[in-house]
Amino acid sequence: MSTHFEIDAALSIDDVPTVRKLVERLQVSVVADDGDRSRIAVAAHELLENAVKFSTDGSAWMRVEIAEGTLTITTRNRASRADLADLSQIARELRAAPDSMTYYLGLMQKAPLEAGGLGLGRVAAEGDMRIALELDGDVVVVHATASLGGGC
Amino acid sequence: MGNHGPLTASTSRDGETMHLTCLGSAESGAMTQLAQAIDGVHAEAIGSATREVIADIRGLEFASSSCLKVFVTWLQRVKELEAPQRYRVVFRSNPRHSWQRRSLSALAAFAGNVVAIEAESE
Repeated sequence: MSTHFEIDAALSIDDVPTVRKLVERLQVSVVADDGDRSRIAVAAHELLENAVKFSTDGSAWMRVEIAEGTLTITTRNRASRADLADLSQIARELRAAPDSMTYYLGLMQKAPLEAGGLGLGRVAAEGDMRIALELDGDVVVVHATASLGGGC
Repeated sequence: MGNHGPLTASTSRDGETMHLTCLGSAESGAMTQLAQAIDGVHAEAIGSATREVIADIRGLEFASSSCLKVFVTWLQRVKELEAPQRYRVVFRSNPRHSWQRRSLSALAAFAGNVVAIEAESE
């Protein structure tokens, strides 16, 4: 069974919890495992919140797709040059880290001192998701994928 | 135990143990509120003979990464205390909120020497 949820709208940070709850509710008939449903909702929340937070035009797009035991969450937004550079740096650090938990713990170590958040690290480590970035001009697309069925 | 409303954070003391009880949903907009509550707990804990702070999050439906960062910053401050002032942070968790298992495992990996996790039996 497969399903998808897509939103393309002008959103504020305060709208993100509403979308998270909707994503969680819509999965009930498709994803049997409570742990997986929670994992998907948390990942959707963090990725959408980043897209909204860094959007330069107030709009963000997100698609959550579950098909053949695979979860794919994709977000797209316009971002400033500085934020695009930061995202590229995050992607490089994630690739260079031995594993996502090591990367996440490194972010935690820096957390008290730095303005950056834990969101992508959380998605990668707690959500056990692979993250890839595409940059096209001032548009950033974040792809996060994971296998379902583990619960976590 | 479930509470889908906004975050509430309350504190109390029982001898050498302080309690921080969080209910509701710790969305990013509640980060300052959570940080203020934790700052208050930390200040009181190091200014008094506190051996343990019990952070009861059983009724916390969700925490955004911004609010997790507040917990991380707190634990870092506890780790940096000299031994006589250092206290233990015990997270009481709810297995029905499975995000807690994942996030608390990460917090324990980050600050295992000051953190303990107690899971409510299902």
